[in-house]
Amino acid sequence: MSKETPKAERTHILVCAGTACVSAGAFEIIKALRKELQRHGLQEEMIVVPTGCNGFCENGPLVLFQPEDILYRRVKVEDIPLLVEEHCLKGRPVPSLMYVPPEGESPVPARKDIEFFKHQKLVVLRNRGRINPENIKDYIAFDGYMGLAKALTEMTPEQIIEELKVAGLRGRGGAGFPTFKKWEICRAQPDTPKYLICNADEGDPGAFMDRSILEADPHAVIEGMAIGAKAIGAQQGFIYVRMEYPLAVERVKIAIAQAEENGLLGNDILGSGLRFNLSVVRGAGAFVCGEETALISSIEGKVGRPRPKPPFPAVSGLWGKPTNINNVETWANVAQIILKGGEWFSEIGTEKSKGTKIFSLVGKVNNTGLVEVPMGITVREIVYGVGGGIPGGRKFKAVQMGGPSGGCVPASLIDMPIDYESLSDAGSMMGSGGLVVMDEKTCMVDIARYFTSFLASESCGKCSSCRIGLVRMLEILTRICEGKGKEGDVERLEELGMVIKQTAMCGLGQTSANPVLSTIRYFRDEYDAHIREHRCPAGFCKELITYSILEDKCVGCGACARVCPTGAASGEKKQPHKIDTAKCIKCGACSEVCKFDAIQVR
Amino acid sequence: MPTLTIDGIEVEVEEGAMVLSAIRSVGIEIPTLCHQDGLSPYGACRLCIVEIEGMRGFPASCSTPAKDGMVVRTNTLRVQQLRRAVLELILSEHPSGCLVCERKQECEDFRGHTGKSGVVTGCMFCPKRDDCELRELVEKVGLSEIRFEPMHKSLPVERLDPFFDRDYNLCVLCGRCVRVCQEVRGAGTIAFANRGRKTRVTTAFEKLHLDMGCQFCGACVDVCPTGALSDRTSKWEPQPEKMVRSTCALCPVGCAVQVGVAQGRVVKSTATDGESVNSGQVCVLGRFCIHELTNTQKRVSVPLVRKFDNLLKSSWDEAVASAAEGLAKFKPAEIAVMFPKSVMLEEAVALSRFAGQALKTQNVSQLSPPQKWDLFDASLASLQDGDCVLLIGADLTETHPILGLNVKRATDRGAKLLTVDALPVFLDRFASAKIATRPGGYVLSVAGLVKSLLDAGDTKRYEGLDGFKEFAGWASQLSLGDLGAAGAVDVGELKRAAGILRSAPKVLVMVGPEVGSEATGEPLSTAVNDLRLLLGAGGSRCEVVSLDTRDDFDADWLKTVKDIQSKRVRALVMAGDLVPELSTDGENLLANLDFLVVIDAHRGSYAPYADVVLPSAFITEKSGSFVAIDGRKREIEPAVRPLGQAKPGWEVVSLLAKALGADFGWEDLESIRRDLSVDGPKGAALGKRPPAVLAPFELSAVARPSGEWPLVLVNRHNAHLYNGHWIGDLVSGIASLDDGCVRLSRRTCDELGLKDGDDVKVVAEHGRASAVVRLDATVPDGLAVSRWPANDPRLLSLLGIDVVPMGRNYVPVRIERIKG
Repeated sequence: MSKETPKAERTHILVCAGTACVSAGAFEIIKALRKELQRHGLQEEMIVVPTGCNGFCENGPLVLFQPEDILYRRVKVEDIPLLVEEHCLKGRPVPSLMYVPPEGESPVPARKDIEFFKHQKLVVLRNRGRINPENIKDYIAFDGYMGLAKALTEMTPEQIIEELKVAGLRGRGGAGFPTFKKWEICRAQPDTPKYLICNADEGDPGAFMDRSILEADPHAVIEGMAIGAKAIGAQQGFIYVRMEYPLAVERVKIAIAQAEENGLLGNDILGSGLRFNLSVVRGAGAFVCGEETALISSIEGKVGRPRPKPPFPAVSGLWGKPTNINNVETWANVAQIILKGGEWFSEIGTEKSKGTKIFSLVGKVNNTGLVEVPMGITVREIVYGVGGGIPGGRKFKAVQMGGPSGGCVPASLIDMPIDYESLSDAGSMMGSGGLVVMDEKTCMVDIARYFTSFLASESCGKCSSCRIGLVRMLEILTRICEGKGKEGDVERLEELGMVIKQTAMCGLGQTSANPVLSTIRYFRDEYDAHIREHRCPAGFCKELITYSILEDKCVGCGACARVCPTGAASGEKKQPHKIDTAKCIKCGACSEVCKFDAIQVR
Repeated sequence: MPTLTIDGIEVEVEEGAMVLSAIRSVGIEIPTLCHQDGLSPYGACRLCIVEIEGMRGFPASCSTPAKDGMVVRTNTLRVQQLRRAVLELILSEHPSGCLVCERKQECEDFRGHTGKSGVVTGCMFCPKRDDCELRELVEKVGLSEIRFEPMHKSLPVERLDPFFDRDYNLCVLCGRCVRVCQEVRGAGTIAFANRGRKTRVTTAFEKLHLDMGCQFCGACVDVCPTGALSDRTSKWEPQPEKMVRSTCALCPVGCAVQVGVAQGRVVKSTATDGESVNSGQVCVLGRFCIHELTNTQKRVSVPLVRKFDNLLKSSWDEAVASAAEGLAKFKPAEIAVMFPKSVMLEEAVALSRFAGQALKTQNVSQLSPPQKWDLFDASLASLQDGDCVLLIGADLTETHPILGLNVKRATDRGAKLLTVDALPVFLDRFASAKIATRPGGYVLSVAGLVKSLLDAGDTKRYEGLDGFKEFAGWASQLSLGDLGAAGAVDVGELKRAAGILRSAPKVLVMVGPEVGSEATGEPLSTAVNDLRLLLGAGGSRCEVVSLDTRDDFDADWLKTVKDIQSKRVRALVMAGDLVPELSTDGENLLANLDFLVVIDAHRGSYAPYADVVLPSAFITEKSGSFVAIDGRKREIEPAVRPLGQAKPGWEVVSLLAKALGADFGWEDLESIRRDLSVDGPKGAALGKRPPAVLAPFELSAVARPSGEWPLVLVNRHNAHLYNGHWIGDLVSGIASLDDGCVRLSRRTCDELGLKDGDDVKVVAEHGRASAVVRLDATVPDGLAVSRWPANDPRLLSLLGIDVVPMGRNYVPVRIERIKG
């Protein structure tokens, strides 16, 4: 598949080169693998291909052998000689490097059998882990640019938009606005030139969907935008990527250059006369620049702050011209829809939410990583199926969805299908796809405090209710977490939250109270416990907890005393130990080392 | 046109209007903070929220476009609650204790004196204590309690820039200042920085406003709803009891201003609303200098007479008598009278008559006859409807800021702007083409434009013009390439500019003071007239305005100065401070005089030489009229009584005349105006028709560096002169603006081994001057730029006052570092 090796090889060794695996040493592994293959003279038969993110980030670096579909995880450079000798030379897979499910004992050799991958449905991420994102030929080999070719040769702009309508594709950036409608409005504007923007300013803490798409399959986005260019009548597009994604920026730039070389971008695409050029604009790391008007203002070289809508960007956007702005994932869906037809797409998902959705699954879950699942899948399936459950078998408490401006979905709604409407009814939102799993040790007040603190510092500072309101909410939340909460604080939070929700100017401001409002809605008892009983039920808020040793469980092994940094834990050998609360700094080290569950946190 | 229903009232509004203006048009009050008429909708304060049927949430009416069929409710219970909540939040980060204090009324009624507290903790210590929009909002919205702890930002008050203080602890981030600076003034000196609660208004990299292109027009101060931006000199003055509408007479633009008076003192001045040349804006002079010049310690408030070698207080009778007595000792030919162009018409008439009839002298350096430049008869009306403005040597933003603003506004409505200048000018940022020349290259640049026009063909258009044939013959010998090379002008840009000019039906040409030298003046006036005729051909219109600057000294002035130098004139009556100290011998020319009478409002450099000083009223203290730059007459009105014993100028002259036995019978201003109508200039009639014949002109050469003189010093026009005084001596902020430095590019500095802040000696063929070097990225290589007043001794020395014709503003120099 790669141009340096025209002949067919026996085995493809696909090394995940997403950001997480790269940080864990993927590039060193590739080097070592190539060296080792060379040493054994296997370089003609086996080829090492760096691919985009597999999403199984918790277990990186990942090495996948095809066609056997055998996945090795947490591979280290030291493991390479063994791996090559055993797997490549002797044809014996190496069980010690395979994935072992948390509850199971025997390793699972095949990728397709791993729970994490089993439940996923890959549309947008179909090329992840199988192509080299820096080689356009790999993309083309898997039907790449076929959608564009079809759109250019067989379809009118109206037909393209109609196909999206049939597909029922909705914006993946947060609000879920029907994509075809956005395109239609922009197309109908008489003013020219028109611009297309790909919003890759992914700022939600713990979210990395957009990054992974751009790193794994940048051409999917480029192809989608080129189709959009024909449908909308634009000649220039911008991909706005945050500066913190250097690998994504690099891969997108390589992809644009390769697309231009191959006549898939430029002044006469595929000889059809379509003119469309793309440039990359790097953001400076402001969360608010994910808001479309702020993003536009940032591209214009101004400070990234939202402006009132209407006029919407489709009417007056970049430099006052009609501008269609979609999220990375939305763009990446387009080419597949055009190629396979809207009908095909609309069969995936639920009645109102079609297709798949990518989530970054993080928090208290065994398999953290990136997953693509059909719309309508339940929370339970994600957490316990794909995610492999909660570590330590602890109790599931909630998932926080939709990024900082989303909300919490409690355990009681674990069988709720994930689609735009259900989430919104539950006081959360689809958002861009962050999914943070929380268990019984997660304090919901602290979660609200964390997100509010993030939003308060990321508020652009323009409109008063968001700028000051969030700071005021943060003050109250901090107070509650410190055990200094007052009767009436919760009502105050609700009141402030509603004021922000109802008066803030932009979408980010209007949703910024969601973390607080939704945790109050579902976990009011935790707030009350903090305020009235000065107790943190999750045992998390430092000011509210004390560590003590249960005498009947303690065997006097002294492990706690050895790790205690302040000497608070002490005692005679073989005698129950004690913790001096005056010295204790609540670091939790004793609790982690105690093998007898003798440390009590209250 | 959309029709809306607002609280049950139907109203029709203009297309594109916002809901807020629809609401206000039916007389419904709605609180706003960030909204300001004339600025773009912003939607940040969220106080003007309303309910609109079919729209989610509570949209801000200021930034929601009115649509047909909208049903708007402005004052529902929820809207009221939300407004109170939002205002409560706003006030919680603003020192606001007083606003909601339950004893507010008592405090109001018995308010004592405010102190100059370093930190504003409440209204008592706030510069806006008497005129606070937030307080009004508290009343309107009905807020009675702030339930949050005050959140003080603890930012240092910024006082390092001239004229206004910035206490961003009081800022509510309404963004009016940012928008007015960007949208109205086009300067964009300030912007928002940071995010969240750290958001604040500042300059790029938090540098001084002085270094970031601030013009100190005060527009930001005027729109600030809080005490965050405050006029430094008037912030501790009482609230004005009345605002007197008058005209700013500090420059010939003649802006409409209102002068605030409290307890008999002038405390501030601002622009007036409504139709005027300045349409609601003023410049640094009109905004910050009028009250400072009125109240400065350097005013002369009582008559002074020299006794025992000291100027001592005296009575009017004694002072006038001793002046008359002194003057009577000289023959008429030995006496001269000097006064500046900035005196009122009435005073000019009085002084001229006094010279002719009381002193019987011919030596009058008076209101100058129409200059060559005045021969173009045009008004500035074309700024309102012209399609193209061509600025030749006119850095309007520096010399006539309000005209500059009008040019910027013309570009806002789509007019094209072309600039011809030896230096980058502020208005370049709005220009469609910039012809960058070198000092002395203005004639060549205009010749280049003329040649480009003729080269573009279309000669039929010009054939009907008088003298076209000869002119075309002369022009055909010129080559555009040669002209460009000689004038250091880009030929492509010339052609582009000519193309824009040719396609514009209405062109306004403004010739500014930077063209300077009289040596190029004559050919330049012919060249500009040729350009005017060519552009005006074929049904188009072209008008030329020459910008009077008032402070250029003319031939009459030079003659009188020479007469003083040669002691032909031994006694002088001078209104203002008109004779500079000449640094070459360290002696003021006035020392040559045997007797000097000065009529002035301010104490100036004349003081050591004056025998009698008669205090005259300042422009805020008297009536009068003058002809403004647009050829129209403007009147000034007294806001306060003259300081101390000062009298209006005409009265002083009248007293002096009487003492010398000449009674003109002037009782009041009216009687003098009757005489003025007989022998004074009349408004709008100053100009002469320019010649209607195309005429060849002489091509001058640009200043080129040579071995001995590697640099060319260009002195840009300094507009901060009044009655011959450089007002930097009287208004400290002006001294910060005019730092007197010589500006060089980095490369020039490097070549000369100089760095920013070095003390240097500037040497020219005829003289030398010392100065401080400043690095300035806008200065082209090989030039040294100063902005000294026209009577600055350094400038006169370098130009060689005796030999160089007046008006010249550049000279080849070399610059040497003073070791030390």
